Amino acid sequence: MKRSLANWLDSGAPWVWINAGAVTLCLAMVFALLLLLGVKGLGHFWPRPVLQATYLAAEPPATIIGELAASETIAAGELNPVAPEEDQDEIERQLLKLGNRDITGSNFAWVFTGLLEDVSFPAELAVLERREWGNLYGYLDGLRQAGAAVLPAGASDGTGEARWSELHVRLDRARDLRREIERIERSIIADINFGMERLRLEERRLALAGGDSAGALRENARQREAFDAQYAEIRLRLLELNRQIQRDTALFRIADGSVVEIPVADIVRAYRPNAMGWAESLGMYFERLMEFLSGNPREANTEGGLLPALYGTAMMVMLMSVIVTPLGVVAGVYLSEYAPRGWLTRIIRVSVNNLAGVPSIVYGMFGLGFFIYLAGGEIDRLFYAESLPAPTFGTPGLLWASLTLALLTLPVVIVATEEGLGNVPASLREASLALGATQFETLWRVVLPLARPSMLTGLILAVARAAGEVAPLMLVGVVKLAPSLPLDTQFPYLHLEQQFMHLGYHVFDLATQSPNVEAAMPQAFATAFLLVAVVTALNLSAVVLRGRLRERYRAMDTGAWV
Amino acid sequence: MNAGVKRKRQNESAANGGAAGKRKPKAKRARQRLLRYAARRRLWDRAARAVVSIGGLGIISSILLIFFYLVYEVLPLFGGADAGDAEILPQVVAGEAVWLEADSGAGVALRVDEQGLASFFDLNTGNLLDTEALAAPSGAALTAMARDSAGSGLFAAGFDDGSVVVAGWDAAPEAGSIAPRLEYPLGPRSLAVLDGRAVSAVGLRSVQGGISIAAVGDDGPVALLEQTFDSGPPGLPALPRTGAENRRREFFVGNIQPENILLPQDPRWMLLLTATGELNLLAIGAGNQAEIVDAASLVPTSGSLGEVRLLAGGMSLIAADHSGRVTQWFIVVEDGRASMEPVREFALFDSAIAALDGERGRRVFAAVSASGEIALVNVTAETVSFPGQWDSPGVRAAALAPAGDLLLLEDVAGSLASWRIDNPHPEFSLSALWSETWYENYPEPALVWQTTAADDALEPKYSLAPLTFGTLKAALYAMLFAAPLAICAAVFTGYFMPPGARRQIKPLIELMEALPTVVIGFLAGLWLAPLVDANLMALALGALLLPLGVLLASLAMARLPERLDLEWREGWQALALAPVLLLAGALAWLLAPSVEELLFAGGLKDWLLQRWGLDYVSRNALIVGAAMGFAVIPAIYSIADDAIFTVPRHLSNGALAIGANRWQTLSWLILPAAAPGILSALMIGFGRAIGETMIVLMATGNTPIMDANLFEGMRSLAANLAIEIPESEVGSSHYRILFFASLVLLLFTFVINSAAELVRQRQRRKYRMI
Repeated sequence: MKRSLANWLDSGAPWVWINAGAVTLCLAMVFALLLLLGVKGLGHFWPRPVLQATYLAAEPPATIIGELAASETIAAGELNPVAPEEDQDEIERQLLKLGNRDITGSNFAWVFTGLLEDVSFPAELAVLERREWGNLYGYLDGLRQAGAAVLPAGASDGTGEARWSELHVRLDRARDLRREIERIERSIIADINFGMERLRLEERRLALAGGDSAGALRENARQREAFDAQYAEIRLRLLELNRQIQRDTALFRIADGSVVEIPVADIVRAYRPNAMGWAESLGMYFERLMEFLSGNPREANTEGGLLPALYGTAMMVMLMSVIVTPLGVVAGVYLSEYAPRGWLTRIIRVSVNNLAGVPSIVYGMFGLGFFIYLAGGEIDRLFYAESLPAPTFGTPGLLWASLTLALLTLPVVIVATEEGLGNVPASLREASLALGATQFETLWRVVLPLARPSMLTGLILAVARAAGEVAPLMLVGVVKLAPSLPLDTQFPYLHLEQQFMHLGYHVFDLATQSPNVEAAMPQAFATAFLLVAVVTALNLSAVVLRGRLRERYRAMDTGAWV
Repeated sequence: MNAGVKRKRQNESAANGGAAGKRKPKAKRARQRLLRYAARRRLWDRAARAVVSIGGLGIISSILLIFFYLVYEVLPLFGGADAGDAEILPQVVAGEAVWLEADSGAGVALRVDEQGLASFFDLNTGNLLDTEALAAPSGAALTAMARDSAGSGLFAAGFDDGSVVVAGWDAAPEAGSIAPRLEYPLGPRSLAVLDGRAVSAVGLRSVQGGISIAAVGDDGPVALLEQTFDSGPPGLPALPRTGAENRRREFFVGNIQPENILLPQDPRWMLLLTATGELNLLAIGAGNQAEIVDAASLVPTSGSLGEVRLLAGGMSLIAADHSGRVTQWFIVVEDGRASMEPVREFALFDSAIAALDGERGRRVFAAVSASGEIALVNVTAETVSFPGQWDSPGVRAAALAPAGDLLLLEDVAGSLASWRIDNPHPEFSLSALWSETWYENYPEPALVWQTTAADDALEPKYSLAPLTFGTLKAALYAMLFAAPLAICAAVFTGYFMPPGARRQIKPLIELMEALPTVVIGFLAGLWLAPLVDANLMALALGALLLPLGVLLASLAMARLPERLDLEWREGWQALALAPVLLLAGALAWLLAPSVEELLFAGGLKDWLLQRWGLDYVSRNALIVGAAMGFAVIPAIYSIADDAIFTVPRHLSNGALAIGANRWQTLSWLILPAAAPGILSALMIGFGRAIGETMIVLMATGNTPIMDANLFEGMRSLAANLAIEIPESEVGSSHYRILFFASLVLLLFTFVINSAAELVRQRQRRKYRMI
């Protein structure tokens, strides 16, 4: 035994195994992280059962209703104040999402599992997702139309069901009305505001320019009157719509037995999770997933969707790609094909390579100081003097963010382009030159087409990096909540100077700047998962592309030309 | 060569053209077309070369512009103070000035003479704009004056009937026109601070919602009058509301006869300076109690005491003497004992200091020697500059504008000289950035980063040391976590794993690099930190059990019968270990409570605190180390794996052939050969960790403390940039110091990456030779 142990040590097997363990641990960490994000991020949309129970720790024991959010087991000693059951070392407690924040003031509560009695999951228990104040849990007790009861309350079970479907009819009506209101606000009122702002700026410009402008001012005043008249008309229409949407209210009996009246217009979604079957739950899951992907955020970003963040990220990345691709390719071609071979070029190459390792926050500082304050300030002085002192380009915005990230990812594209050009077999190049093609023709017709996939790989990697980068963006353009999308129907359609929302910053904001962290966590996980999914997909496609490319070059080099 | 070819072709075409031109005009045209085409191709080629070269160089230099831009933002920090040309004005008003103030914005100066007559004059033309007598009680003579230690611009004038008037002035009360006048925040009335005795010294302090006036006569107690307002900020526009309350107290200070009273911003103290230069620190109690707790002599060993002032912020006292030195003093409270301490000494001139005045926002003062030399000093950073000199018979009064952008001097002949001063960044000096500095309210010199954009009264503290410490601490703990894991993993995939398996595994580990750091930071701060907080013991146990489990598995495999295929053991151990790791982790989880009970009496954190004095903060260096380690593993792993994998195979084959086993070959041959590559991998990983922002930002509390404790937080340079730059004023010292920090980051990572690249290239060259 002793000898074999010595043999075992001599053979180095333990060290090999330790190394293997490191690989396993690394892989385990990657998978655990992806799994965690996936479960927490995607699970968020699944409707959870709502429990009703009597909680004995309350004085007097009270009925509570809520969704189970988390549970943990803790040592009794760590509890402060002292645990209710002294004889136990460990206590299980659960975090319940109680909702009803407007009524009770708090949204979540830790309760001791042992002190919950008569736990049940009543089928009639309804969950309301509301536009404000988060969820409400309770029983539908009645419906009112303009103050008068619609269906008599307190009737048999049949009426309960009828009431529930009646609620949905009214929800649909309110949703249609809201859509109409939003359409008016978003298009017509925005048009009017935009026109008014244009008039104001024009007057300011005229004032700055001096000279006779009475005619132009008269024309402006006329237009302004037209806008005012249009606005007055729209306002009446909006008032009418708002009156209509407020028509219906629903009565809900909540945990403490009291009945609250909720305007139907404030309800985003109403469902009874305990009564839902598997298929219904799945339907609800996808409905909520769709809202997440295509809706606007609600409740300080903690609920609703993240369309503006997705949109902002995509816009920024696209703009960045448009900037970085030609620049990176030209610089890469220069370094690989035209630069004189010498120590200077070598230094430049190493420097460019190293710039990829410079902290991204440094690029952010550069963007803030150089692009925004220096270039943006100058642009404002020259072209937007009429809106000063309010800055137009002299403030963080989409253009500067894209430029900063283009600069940040430029080394990635340059290096990828150079690598791609260097990998093209010399035989092809020589063949082309031997046939009398000029250097440019060889480059354009032979080398670049072959190197195109590797440039694409570089671009994908750049996009992946840009999509996940947050630190520089915090300085040069992202905001918690952007009032409008950077691309819309207002001239000049693409608003380069506007601030935008970004998925990565959304995660940061939800995780650190949210007033109610527990309420924000599910949304943060979902956003993080989406971000990771996008970035991972981009990276994997780059890996696959690169692998395929390598095969092709190998084939070319061995002469197996296909 | 091109030209030669061209000429030859031209000759050929000329010859051919001449011969065939008549016969075949069609062919000639075709040939000409061909020639034109060739010329166009050459033109294209040359144009492309030019465009790509210029474009490429332009793009590359624009990236390198980052470096030059940062330098451009930082450079102004290193410039000292500059003074423009002196504007000399002949005597405007006769008599000696007891009070001189300048308003640089409006270009107006105020001068009060011994009779209490205030005259306003234009600084550019020397025209007398207005004269106005201080609202003195009738028949009373001006005997003492003092400025507000809070820097509001108010001053107090004491008279020989024991009354005090609080006044200020405004150069342009109505916008658009310069019509300077005196203003009285308490109304144009005198306050009877001393009862009938002539005021020999007076002190003034304005605070939020109140004004305190201290006065003393030739003998008798020191009187302190506190006039409280209902609300309203201190300063000129604030008038006391109705119902303002005033409280008068008297303190007997024995045989001390103050010649000068200074009221520091902290209302617990009063400073009494006697004619002999003795400074007494009076601690003021709740009622009429007050006690001299310390006395110090401001008189230097050689020379005698000159002017004494409170600096901006009202905490530091500066005393000039007649040997050209200025000494800074402030109150230091240590172990409940207060004392006046000489903090810094500036030896400015060879001759006596004739006049002294301070700015109102920054800790900057101007000192003027009798021979007219001017010095501008920031006490915190100890920056001294000598922007100019006035050749005059002797300076007797100096006034520095509140923002420090104008200096006005009066000489014994009554003529005046003013300078525009450009002193943008006196708070910056390289030594103050890195070395211990003694700040106001601190018992001893310390390294502190505390910028106070909101409050001028607090001394800004720019020491990059805590931030640098935090950066290095985070990076080192990250490396402690990442380096062993990444290198071990690289050794395994680079050497032991079959290339086929390596191709599958490597991209998976490299995928970690793609994960946005904001997600890692989020998970670290909001998921890992509470988890570790609750399960510290399980983590510690896991760190022990995981390698143990791996070793046990290895032993078990070694005892396995030989007939099991060796192939899969050579490289697929990683897969076999997954259940082992899971098992070890689960075991750690299960055992943790009992082990904690057994060894640490139920509380590992309590034990750490009691046994080692280690405080546990939830978002700490352990969390950052793990999270950032996770983020830098792929960078280290990828390069180290390449370095090991590219060691030529025949080296290894040779060693194996002469009987070494795989592990011996690795440790004696492969690793030494790959060492430079591994070193460069570590350097790149370290550089990455230094500059990482989001993880540190989200996974720590971001408190700039210097504590190497694994369980305490930190603030890194990069995170500090993200936190502070959006709120810093463009062009301010704070802004530029943040740019300095980013330049430091840039240079550090650039140097470390370049060194890594150099090492790597050298290794590559070596292999090529083998």
